[in-house]
Amino acid sequence: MQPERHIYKGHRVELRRRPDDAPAREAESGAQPELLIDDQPVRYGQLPDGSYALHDYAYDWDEDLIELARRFIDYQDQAEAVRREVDSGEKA
Amino acid sequence: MGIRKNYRSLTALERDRFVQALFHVKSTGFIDQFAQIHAQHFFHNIHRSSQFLPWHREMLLRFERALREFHADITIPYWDSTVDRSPSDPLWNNSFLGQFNSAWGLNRALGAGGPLPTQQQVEANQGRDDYDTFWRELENPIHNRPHVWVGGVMGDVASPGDPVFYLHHCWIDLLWARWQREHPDAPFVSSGPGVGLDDPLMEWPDRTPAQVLNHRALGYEYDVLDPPARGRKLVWHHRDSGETQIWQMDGHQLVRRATVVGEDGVNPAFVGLPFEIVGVSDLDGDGRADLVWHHRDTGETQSWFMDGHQLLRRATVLGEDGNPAFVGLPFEIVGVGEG
Repeated sequence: MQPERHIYKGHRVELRRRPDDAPAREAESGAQPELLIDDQPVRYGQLPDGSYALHDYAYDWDEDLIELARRFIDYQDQAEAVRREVDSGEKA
Repeated sequence: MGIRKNYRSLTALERDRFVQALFHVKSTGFIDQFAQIHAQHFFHNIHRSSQFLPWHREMLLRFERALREFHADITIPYWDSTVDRSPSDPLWNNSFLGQFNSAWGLNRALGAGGPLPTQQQVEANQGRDDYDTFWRELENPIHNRPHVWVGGVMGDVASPGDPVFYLHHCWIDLLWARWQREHPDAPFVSSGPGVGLDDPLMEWPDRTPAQVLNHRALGYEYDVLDPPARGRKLVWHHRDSGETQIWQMDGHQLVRRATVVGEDGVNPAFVGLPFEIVGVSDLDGDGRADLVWHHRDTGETQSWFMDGHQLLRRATVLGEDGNPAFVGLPFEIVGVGEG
């Protein structure tokens, strides 16, 4: 397959063929492509109905892996903002 | 029979006991083991399949049993996320589940991944007529959203590593039990091969959905589905043996009988003359019938606070000055009332 690359809110989202020497753990989806955000592999799997979920963002499901990666980026931004707010409140 | 109730209904003792039990199952490695099991099977029929609800019911049952090794009276409380929707709710107090965030490195971000499900969504879901439609909608969005709303560990495949997982799934299990009560004739519908009524559950192949359909048969009830019976008991006392029996009635039909046991929950609490039962009433307002005894010779009056046929605690009636109020003949108790 040809790699698929997108830029979303300044983050690089990429789908590409897994390297031949990928560890079995990462190749659990068989011939599934590898998902990367900012060059970091993102583990994911496929549910019985065919939709995708990310290991670290497991309860938002989509049949479009790139769209799911975008929502994960949005979630991470919001989560970081919440944690900063909680931290600042605890320090105040 | 254990009664699972809303976490807001826990007494201070029950809440503290539950927290201590959580620390206990963390120290034994049980919580981490459950998180690993959940992560291992996440994509393999425990979600997005007709076994989603049975599998998690079995999981909660096993978790509850582990908690009960710490204390026999523990039941898993539930979090109704259509009601408790704020990070400032007591669920997240540092004396309750809040403390686990830093203690266990859960990395929560409460509210970042909103919104939570609404009561309108839950009620619409409860109205679905067939199991296939019901569980799909209950799982997503009603079940999924609180996972995302809490975030951190609760939002990843190893979500049972966060104790709020169990309170959340207890509520999901309650919603399934409520739907089952309202749709007693709706059959279990398999979503595909290997996930039918008699197919083995992942991880626990000796268990099937058929074995977990009836939650009462598994030894627990829900406070809002199975409220304690009021005014449907007969209380007998055997003057010679001292045995007290509780008869649970349905109209004039005896449903079951049980001998009153003492605080240890095992041994019968035999009480003979000159003690006599002089009243049955809900003395502490917990919805359960309690017993009032009177000692004819000493004039002592004793309250027995009951849970069904088990004596939870007993106390001598005190006067305004804090000392036992002894009252004898010719006074007699002729009635015990509420309000």
